[in-house]
Amino acid sequence: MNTVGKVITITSGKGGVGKTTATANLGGGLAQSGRKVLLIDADIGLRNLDLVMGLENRIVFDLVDVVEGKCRSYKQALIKDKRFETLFLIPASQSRDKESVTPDQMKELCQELRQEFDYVIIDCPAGIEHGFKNAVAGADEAIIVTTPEVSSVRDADRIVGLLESEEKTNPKLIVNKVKMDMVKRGQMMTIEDVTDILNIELLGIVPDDELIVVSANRGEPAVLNATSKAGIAYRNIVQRLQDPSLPMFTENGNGNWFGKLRHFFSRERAAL
Amino acid sequence: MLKIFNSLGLLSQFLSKIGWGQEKSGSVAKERLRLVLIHDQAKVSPELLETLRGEIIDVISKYMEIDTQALEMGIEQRDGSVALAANIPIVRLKREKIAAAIQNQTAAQQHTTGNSSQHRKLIRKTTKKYYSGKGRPLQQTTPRV
Repeated sequence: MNTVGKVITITSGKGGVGKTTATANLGGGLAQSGRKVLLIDADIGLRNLDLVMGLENRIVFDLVDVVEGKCRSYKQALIKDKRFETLFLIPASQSRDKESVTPDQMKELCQELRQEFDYVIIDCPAGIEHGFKNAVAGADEAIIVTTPEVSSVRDADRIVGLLESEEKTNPKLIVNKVKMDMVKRGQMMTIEDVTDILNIELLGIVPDDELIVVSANRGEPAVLNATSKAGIAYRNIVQRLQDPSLPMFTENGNGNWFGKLRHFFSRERAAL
Repeated sequence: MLKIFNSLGLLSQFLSKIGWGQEKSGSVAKERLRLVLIHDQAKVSPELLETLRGEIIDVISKYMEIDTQALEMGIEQRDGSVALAANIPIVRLKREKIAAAIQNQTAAQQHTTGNSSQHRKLIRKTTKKYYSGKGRPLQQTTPRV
């Protein structure tokens, strides 16, 4: 691949809506479709991406070491995930804080990384302070993760405004932890409600799925699981990231997931 | 009778507590968010209110002298809706400007309903041709609009 790669930051404002899970699964899904992907945990001081991916025992160098020049180049900090042929991780530091890295350092690093990878996905920390600015500085695109709840949507709206002032226009949206039965009973906002309010392009939706807890427990991202609803949803988002004309994953009226399952198996075979 | 009214009141209180006959919480959430976000976005860009204030002062000052120091403007929430509210103390009206505005308004109205003096001139022009010396029409004409 001779073309320059894309740097995408996954942000939300609100904590706990699924940024780290989305980073792990989007990265895994893109690697499954043959792309060379690097994941960066920008949550310095509170690292989690390594844990969710099950790579916590393989950390040698972290992002702060790379930026401070403690290792000769970023290549020494790379952790290769053996389950996906082309997936790599640069973890965050657990002992430093977000001021140990500057936005300019991130911009420079991303410029270097674009030459080597098809996708660089940055897991942004919650909040709007230094950590957010670091994660966004080097990005080409932003994906905002929200849940259909009042606090997350309010914070996501603030993030849309902040991204505009950082000139990262046209962010895309993932609505996570959707409970379709609650939506049908009118006790949870609909996807249309959320997209109406935020008024940005919808990339995809991910249903609430117990398997996400299990996959974090084991350190096995949901995209590795063939039957998980969330895994199927993330694989769909990965496809739509590369081709926005593809249809979005939604639950049909009966809550029947098996039709979608068959469909996605055949799509995966076609992709290989 | 009073006892029945009292128990009805208690009944409706009980029903609203268990959420019967109320708007579904999903739509309540959406409406609350819509209002709170208007507030949030206005707070985050005070430049918007400043620009609005300046432009509104300019427009109103064309027709009346106003006390710009005492002018109050802001976003208010009332009863489930959000409004841009302004309190603009008037010192005096600019009579000449208001008269001119009224003239412009009525001239515009007359033009569209076809009674303007220009139109009347056109009618006189066309009808002149078709009247004989004794004042009787030679041909019926309808004036062109």
